[in-house]
Amino acid sequence: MSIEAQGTGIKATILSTIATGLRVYATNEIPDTLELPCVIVMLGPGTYATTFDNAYDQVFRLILCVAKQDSPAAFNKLLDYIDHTGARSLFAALDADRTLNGSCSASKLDNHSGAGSMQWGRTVYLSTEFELQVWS
Amino acid sequence: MARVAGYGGDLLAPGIIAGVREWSIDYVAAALDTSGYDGGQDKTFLAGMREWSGTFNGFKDGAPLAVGTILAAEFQESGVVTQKWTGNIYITNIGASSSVDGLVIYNYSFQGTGAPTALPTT
Repeated sequence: MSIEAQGTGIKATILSTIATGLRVYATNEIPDTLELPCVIVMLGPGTYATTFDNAYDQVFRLILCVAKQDSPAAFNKLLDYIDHTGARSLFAALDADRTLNGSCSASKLDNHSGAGSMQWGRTVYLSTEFELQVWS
Repeated sequence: MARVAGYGGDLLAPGIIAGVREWSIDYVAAALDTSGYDGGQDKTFLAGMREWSGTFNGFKDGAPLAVGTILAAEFQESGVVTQKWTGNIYITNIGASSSVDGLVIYNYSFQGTGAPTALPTT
């Protein structure tokens, strides 16, 4: 499977569990402006030829943006997505189908960066970044 | 003269075994000690019987091989047809390991039976 297919597989996997209230932008549909809350699937580092039959490892950076300002309500919403269980948990959503909709052999949502901020199109958003390890 | 990158290699037995990352082969000849009282302090030897064995390992990808299986194996050092070892092997040992932040890994040991049918050249 291609990296692009893995990107759309990540989107499908997240949305199959977190069906409402979250917009996911796959690697082939990065937007100019964001509709919140959202996850932007960005490419991280990768490693080629990890086996003789040409498997590869790929890391995806999932940037979650929940609000334009750091309010208590927005921060609480961030926690709902960061938590390892629950209806909005990104970990639970991705762990439910580790093949990412059949686009890879295995995957693991490895870590998050904690509460932070991210600038997108001159606007600053309350955000966090997840690191998703994908094995082709 | 050119060095050879390992990543261009492969292991076929006889088809590709998916997930393999490493292989190694030991091809040895027994050294038979022919030393006697008449030889002084320097030992002497004769070449004895030869045998070959080795290991390979990689990620689990499909059903594991079975211990005791005999396979027609081809250990490719590269895509160059002269850079490979071939012969029949018995799988003599299987080991598996797993970690929470990685993939399941299988380690295999094998014993060659008969002579290698091809040895690598340049």
